[in-house]
Order: sequence, then C-alpha cells, then structure tokens
Amino acid sequence: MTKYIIRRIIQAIPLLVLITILIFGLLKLSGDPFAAQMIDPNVSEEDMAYRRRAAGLDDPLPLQFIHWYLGDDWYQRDLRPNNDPCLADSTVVCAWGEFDGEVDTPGTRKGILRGDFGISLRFQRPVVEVIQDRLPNTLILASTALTTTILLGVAIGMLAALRPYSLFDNIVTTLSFVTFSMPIFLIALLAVFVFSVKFKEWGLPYLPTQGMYDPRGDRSLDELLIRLILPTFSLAAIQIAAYSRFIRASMLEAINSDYIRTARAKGLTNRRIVLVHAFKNASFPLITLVALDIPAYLGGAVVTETIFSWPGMGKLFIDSLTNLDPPILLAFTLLVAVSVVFFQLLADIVYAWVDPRVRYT
Amino acid sequence: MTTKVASLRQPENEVEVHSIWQIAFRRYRKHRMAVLGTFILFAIILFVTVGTLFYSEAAGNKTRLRGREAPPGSIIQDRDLGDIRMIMGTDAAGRDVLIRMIYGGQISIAIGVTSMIISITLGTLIGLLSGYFGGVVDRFLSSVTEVMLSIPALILLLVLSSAFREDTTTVEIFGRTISRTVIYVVLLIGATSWMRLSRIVRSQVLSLKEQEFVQAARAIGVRDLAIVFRHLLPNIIAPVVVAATLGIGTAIITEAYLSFLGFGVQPPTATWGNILNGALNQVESRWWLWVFPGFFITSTVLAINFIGDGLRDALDPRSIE
Repeated sequence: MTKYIIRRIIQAIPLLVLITILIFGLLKLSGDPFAAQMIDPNVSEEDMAYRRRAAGLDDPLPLQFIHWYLGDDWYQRDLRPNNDPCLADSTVVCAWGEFDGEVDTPGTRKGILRGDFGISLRFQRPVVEVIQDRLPNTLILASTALTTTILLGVAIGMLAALRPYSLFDNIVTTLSFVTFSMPIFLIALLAVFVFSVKFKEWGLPYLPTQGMYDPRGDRSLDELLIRLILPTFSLAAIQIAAYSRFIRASMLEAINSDYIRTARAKGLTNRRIVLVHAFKNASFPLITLVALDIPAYLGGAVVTETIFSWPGMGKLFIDSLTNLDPPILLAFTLLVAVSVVFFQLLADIVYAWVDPRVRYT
Repeated sequence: MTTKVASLRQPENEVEVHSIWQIAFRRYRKHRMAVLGTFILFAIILFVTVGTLFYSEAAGNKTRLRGREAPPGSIIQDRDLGDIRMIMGTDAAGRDVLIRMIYGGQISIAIGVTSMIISITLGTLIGLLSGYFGGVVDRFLSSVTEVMLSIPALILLLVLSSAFREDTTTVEIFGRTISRTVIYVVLLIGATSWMRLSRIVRSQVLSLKEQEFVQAARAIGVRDLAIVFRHLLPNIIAPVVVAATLGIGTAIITEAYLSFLGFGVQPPTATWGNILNGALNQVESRWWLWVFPGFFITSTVLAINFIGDGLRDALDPRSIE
C-alpha cells in the first residue's frame, strides 16, 4: 500500500509540471496587465516602462516562467543609472528610468516553489494573503453545499432505488433531467425570484440574496446561516440530481448481484438488505464523485458566488479577470488544478483502501 | 450437399433483414422521452428559422429611447412603425426581446452544433490514435488529456476568453453580420470539451484492437490509418453519436455561462446567454429578460438530453437483439 501511494505521488509530479506550463502559457495569452493602467494619465510612459521592466515583463518568456517558479532574487535587471547614489547609500531614494545596459538590481520575488505567488496588482498585497482572506468563505459555502448534496443525493437515490419505476422514482427522474438541463445561474435566479422577491411580496419571511453578512448586522452565525441558504441551494441542486441518479443506478446494480440474493435467502428484511448490504457496495463510487466535486467547489462556485456576491474564491477569480490581475489568476488556477490532482490521488488511495475488490498494482 | 447450400441462399420463408441503424431507429421510436425531445427540438428550430421570415435582424437590434423595458404584451410607440405590441417585452435598450430570442437562438444553437463538431473530431481522433498506436503517441496524448482535465473547463474558458473580450469586429457568415467573438467562443468550447470522449474512445479502441478482425486486417497488410478509420471507427460510432448529441447541449449551456458572466459573445450579436447577462440586477422587475432565454436554453438542452438518452439506449450493442 505504501509503495502504491509513493508511486502515485511520483507519477503526479510531471503532471503538475505540465499543468503549471499550461497555466503560465494561458495567462500570457490572456493579455498585458499593464495595458489597462496605461490609460491612467497620471502615469508617464517612462514610469510604465520602468514598472514593466521591474516586474520582469521585459524578460524573455522562458526566463519569466523560471522566475515565476524559482523567483528572481538571483537575477539582476538594469533598472537604475550607473552611478546612482542610491546604490551606495540606502537612505537616498533611487531614480527611475535611464537604463544604461548594465544590470544592477536583483529581483525580489521568491517564486511559487518557495511559496511566493507575487503581489496582486489590484490589492497591492501578497497574493497568498488575498487568497487566505477569501478561501475560508469559499470553504464555508463549499462544505455546506457538499454535505447537503451528499445527504439529499444519497437519500433520494436510495428511496428511488427501493421502488424503481414508482411514482416517486418517476418524479425524481423527471426533475433531475430538468435540473441537469439548467444552467446554475438560472436555478439561482429562480431561487432569488421565488424565495426573496415573491416571498417579500406575499409578506412571508424572505431570504437575503447578497453577501455573507448584513452590512449593518453583527456578523453572527444566524446571519451567516440564513445567507447560506440560497447559494447552497443553487450550488447543490444540480449535484443532488447527479448524485441521486448515480446512487440509484449503482444501488440497482448491487441489488441484482449474488450476495444480495444470498442475503435474501438468509431471510433478511428488504429494508436491511437495501440500507446496509447493498448501500455499502453502492456507496464506493461516491468517493470518486466527491473527489471530483471538491476542487470544482473550491474554485468552481464562480457563477454562484458572483450572483450572490459571496466574497469567496470564485468571485475573486471573476474580479481578477475583469481587472486583469495575473498573479491572482495564476495562483487561483494553480490552486484549483493542484487540488484536482490531489483529490483524484486521494480518491484512488481511499478507494483501494476501502474496497477489497480493488487491487493496487 | 448442393441443395443445402441453395436453400441457405434462398430461405423459403422471407426473413426481414434489418441493419443496425434500422433496429436502432425502431428502438428509438419506442423511447417516449426521446420522441418528445425530438418534437421539442424540432419546434425550437422552427421558431428560430421561421421567425426570421417575419422579423429582420435589424429590427431586433433596433434600440428605442421610449419604450425601454416594456413588459410582455405591452404596446409601445415606434418612430417608424407606430404602435407595436411587444409580445415578449423589450430590454434595457428598448429592443424587442422576441426578435432577439429568434436571432439569438440561431447563434446559440449554431455555437452548440459547431463547437460540438470540433470537440467530437478532436476527441475521436485523439482517442483513436492514442488507443491504437499506444507507446509514445499514447503517452503524449494521454498526458495532454490529463492536463486539460485537471483544470475545470469553465475556468480554462474564462481565462482564455478574457483575451478576446475587447474584440469588437464583426464577420459575415451566411448573410448575417455577427460579432467575431462568436468564432472565438466556438473554437474555445470545442477545444476544451473533447477530453471525456477521447478517454472513452481510447478505452474502447484498446479492447477492440486485440480482436480478431483487427488482427486479420493487419495480417493481410492493411495500413494502420485504414485500420483506424475503416475498421475501428465504425465500431465506436455509438458512443461518439451519443457524445455528439449531448455535446450540443453542454456547449449551449457553456456558452450561456460565459455570456452570462460577460465573457462570451459580445454585442451587437445576441445569444440566449448574453440576453441573460444583464438579468442579474433585474430579477424582480424585469422577469421577462431572464425567464424567456432561460426557458429556451433549458428546453433546448432538455430536449437534446432526452434525445441523447434515447440514442444511448437505441445504439447500445448489448441490447440489440
């Protein structure tokens, strides 16, 4: 088992390297971060040129990639006039511009391998800090949505499998087909329309739709819980449909297998057979399903967080795209991709561990 | 001896011979949801095609200062046409939502179909090649697939599409002037949605290529590419057809996501997705701006999913008797 785990981890390393290359290439394609700031009349052209050079954007592309990886504190750029007094005396403020072809200033970045993801252009703070602020908010939403999905998905799927082709099963089938065909934002808009707008109209208690806390409130748990309802519903609706379909199918498959026939022959009750014996085997594939979903939730609540102004990672991503903030985009995309690889690995390991039929070779 | 052969050639009671496709069609007809889906899809296609006979695209792009955000069924004054009834209301620029639904629907469906063609071609080709040739080819193509699968498609698409958001040029296709962003969206969706199919195709090819008909073909010296395209491809056509059908629906939804977030097709070209773009701030007061496009997206994708489901059952070789 240990050998299997170690080999899987080693196999994941080249994949991660390829992913970083792809992400870096993508971000380079998606535009010049300084172009947007060029419009600012207060920043002179020389200043922009200086900033570009200082940020390493004039370096050759492969070198930029290496700097992103390993940092550039070992690499010198030509940022100052040759005999600038500031080089000798640290109390003198350095002059900008006037490049003379001689390298003089080392970079300050440490590179992602040493945990430095750069400075966000928009927040003027280290990317790691910005993400640290946002990640917990996303985790709150994601864990609520995932728990809801698993609980409801499994319950509905089991009920449907207990009586296949019954009225309940048919209703669930139809409903899940419809939800599958809906974009998340439509479900969110419908939910807002009914539970917020219409409830208000009808004089019922209605749900808030924006943000995590009431701006004038006391940031209590109640406030958070009530604001979690709509985003959770929107996130979970499609997944509940998927999970219940999945559980139903694998339950029906398990119910038709030999060991269930044995259990029946032993005279166990149908209830016990389905809930204990069949479910045990039918639930293994859930591991893979959940492992695929966690990374999607980590970064993928993009649409939901935007709609409900949830201050999490998804909203950060969209805002950074609109304002073109490459350090954040790089870190975000990398985080999501790494967690996809990580949870996939974890799922395979857990799967091999819980299911004796799987042999790890 | 000879009589026996003769009797084999001409059986006394005529047995009806059906091709796989005939059997599949029969089974498809029995799939109630699939038939319903076919009808719904047909109706929607009629709506977006026949609708153009009544309204011109220019009429859909016509903005009006007075009569903005008129609710469905209301009558507004048009400078040239006098009083006209807006069946689906008007949007924030006073444009007729009904006409935008017709022309936007054309673009949405066209995006769905064309990006599906790209993604199916890529997926099938990559799956076939990496499954059949194995070795270095397989290792390279499989790792490309895996890398692409490691970044959620929506995030990949959003990053890529931010590059062309500023492009305001238009191109002329089939007599319609459309935003160039449509082409980018098609290419991007096609290029980011082939991975699942390529894995399915690859695994099928891996088991198919060990079978006798492939060995026989190889033994008589059929070239590799001929084996791949003439012998393997027809055998994996069932999952490809199903993936193609469902792929149209997925692409339509993906376009809607992109355009809803403002990263998809840019104005002046309407799609069902970008009509929804402004809807977020108008959930309560301007319900027609999201209910109609939402309805069309959902029913189109639903119909396509029903059809795909029906095709999956109809083409399943295990159940062809």
